[in-house]
Amino acid sequence: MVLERSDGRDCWKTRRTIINVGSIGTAYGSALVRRGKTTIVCGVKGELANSRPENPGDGFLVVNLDLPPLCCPLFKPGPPSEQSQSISQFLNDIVTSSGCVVLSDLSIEGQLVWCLFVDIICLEYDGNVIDAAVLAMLAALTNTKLPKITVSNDNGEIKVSEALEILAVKSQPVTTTFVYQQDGGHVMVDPSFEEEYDAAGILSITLQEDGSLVKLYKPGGLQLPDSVLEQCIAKARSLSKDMWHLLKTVSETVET
Amino acid sequence: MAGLELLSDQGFRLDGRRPHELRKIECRMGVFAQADGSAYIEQGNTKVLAAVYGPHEMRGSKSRGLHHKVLINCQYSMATFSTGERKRRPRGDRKSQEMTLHLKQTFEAAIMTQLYPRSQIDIFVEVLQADGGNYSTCVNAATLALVDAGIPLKDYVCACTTGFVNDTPMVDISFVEESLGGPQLTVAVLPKSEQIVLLEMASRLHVDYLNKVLKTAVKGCKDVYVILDEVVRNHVAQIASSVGSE
Amino acid sequence: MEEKKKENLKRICIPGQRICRADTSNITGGKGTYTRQGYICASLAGYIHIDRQEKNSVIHVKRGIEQNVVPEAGSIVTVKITSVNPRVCKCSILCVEDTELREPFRGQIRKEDVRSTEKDLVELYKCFRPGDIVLARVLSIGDAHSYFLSTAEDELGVVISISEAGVPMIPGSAEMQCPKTYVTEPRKVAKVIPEHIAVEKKKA
Repeated sequence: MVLERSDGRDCWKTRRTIINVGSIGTAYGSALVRRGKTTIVCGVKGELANSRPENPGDGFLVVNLDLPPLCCPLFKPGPPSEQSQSISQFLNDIVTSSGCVVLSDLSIEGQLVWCLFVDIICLEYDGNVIDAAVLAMLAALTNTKLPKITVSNDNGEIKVSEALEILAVKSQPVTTTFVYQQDGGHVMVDPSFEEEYDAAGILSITLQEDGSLVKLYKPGGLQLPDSVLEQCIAKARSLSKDMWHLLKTVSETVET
Repeated sequence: MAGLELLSDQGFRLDGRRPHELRKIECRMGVFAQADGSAYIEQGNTKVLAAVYGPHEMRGSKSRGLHHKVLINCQYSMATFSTGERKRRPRGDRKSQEMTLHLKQTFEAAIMTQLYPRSQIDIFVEVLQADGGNYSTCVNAATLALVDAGIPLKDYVCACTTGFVNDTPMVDISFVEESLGGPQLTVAVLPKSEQIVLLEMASRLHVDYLNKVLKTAVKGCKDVYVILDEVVRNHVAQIASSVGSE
Repeated sequence: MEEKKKENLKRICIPGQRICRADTSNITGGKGTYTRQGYICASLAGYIHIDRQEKNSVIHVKRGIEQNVVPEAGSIVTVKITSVNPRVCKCSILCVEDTELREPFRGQIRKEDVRSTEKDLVELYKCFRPGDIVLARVLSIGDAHSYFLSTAEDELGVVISISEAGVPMIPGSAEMQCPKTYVTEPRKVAKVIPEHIAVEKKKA
């Protein structure tokens, strides 16, 4: 039985994804991702800092997601909501677990290291912010160009040169989110706002190009049998291939 | 000394514009489906997004509701990556709160508030890239978003920031021109009636020059109005043809 | 098609645009317009519609799509009852006239506004139950919390109600009956005008 969803998709089809990089001139790297109607913009900024004594030569990478009231009437003005904080933590965990950016690559000289801030803002909320935010973060990081820093030996003066070097991103952990309903457990990929709201449970699978599982996230919700979980992982593998291809195409167009 | 760099002898500014020329303005209305009205505007390198929700029931403390007019709730937010130096607090710092208050006061003059008593209209403005003239671009974006939301307005509100160098007023200054000093005049007008809604001036300017700078600023606002007008007309025609006009 | 498009383009107006003079006695400004300095000006971006009646013509500005509305005194609203207590009935306003609201407003129906006769003998639990869809008229803006509504007319009252068995009930004159359990529950039912019924019967 083929189940058709409210927007005409079948259960295993994601919405049309559009990625645009480099539009924000003031940031070292930026990306705009549109998945269906969900729109996310990401900007990467860097500051110089001293590394921690317990991890000398390790830089810092901090990811932060903001869900402002302009993206959806559900969000009220005020301090960051629980949802935005938990998604920020999720993104930070992916970066650490996958090792997509090796922190020792961010060191410049001695104690001086880069501290990269990846700030993600949701501009329109139509469900499945996690997948779009991960794509935006990867697209922005892959196209981040940091200025070359030289420290003069005699007086320790820091010089920022005009030349830019691309940040080395070792892998691209892509997330695929599924939701399932209460009756009979129909699983759907890439939920829209209504599907997410009515779902009995949500499942996010993060995979890397070498086939390894980076993060599996199922926050509570209705119980899920093992067979369904394996089916989802298999589907996530094939869907992630499309995303890796898309990210690669975007990088190539930027270089040309 | 600074004046020589900002305005060359031939009368060209740093980015090659003439003193009375605006930056390239590109805008689109109806960019978001969730918001009742939305608009995106690019003035040179300053990129601003505006979303309008409303009119809807009062949220938060009901005591703030006004019995004879609508409450306008604004929020001005700058993305942390929008400025050269990373901004630590996107909203809630003093400058943002001042901008929020200015936006609220500006739109209270333009929106026909008596039509929706005991209700609330939210205007959210997000600056994605800041390259000078932040307030003006926000006002222009919010005007388009309000028109898109179908909220009755007395007139458009168009704003423009003008600088003054070498006895020449310069319209629509960029970030570099702002930071190199000199007086700046920000003005928001209702173009049809030429009424000033908001006027703010920073740094010192001799009173004799005020009229000249003000006239140039108002002319700049009118030029912005012409551009916004065309965008609105195209948008209305497009919507009607897709929905089916009577 | 092209000619029609061009004609429509002529009648597009934007906020602040002057439409015509206001001092001529047979032209008035309607929705989407306001008067200033003797001129009728538009306050919305849309198309100009002129309603020509015998003596008067009214100018409206309409957008292609729906606009947001706010309940006004005297308009008929469709509400859903959220809670009932002996003094007042709280409800959530879903539609104003025939425009659906994006977000509900809050309303309340006081005990004395339910019926026009025998106002003090009303028992609210026998008129409305939570979950009922009711047609009401807006009395006033009300206090800080909600609009004041009234059902003190024959055509106003409960339109749709779900019985305790979970089935939509059939309306009677002063009560509604559940088709599954045949139990009648008392409600303040909205009476449909008889002429309407006659028209429907003819069609059948």
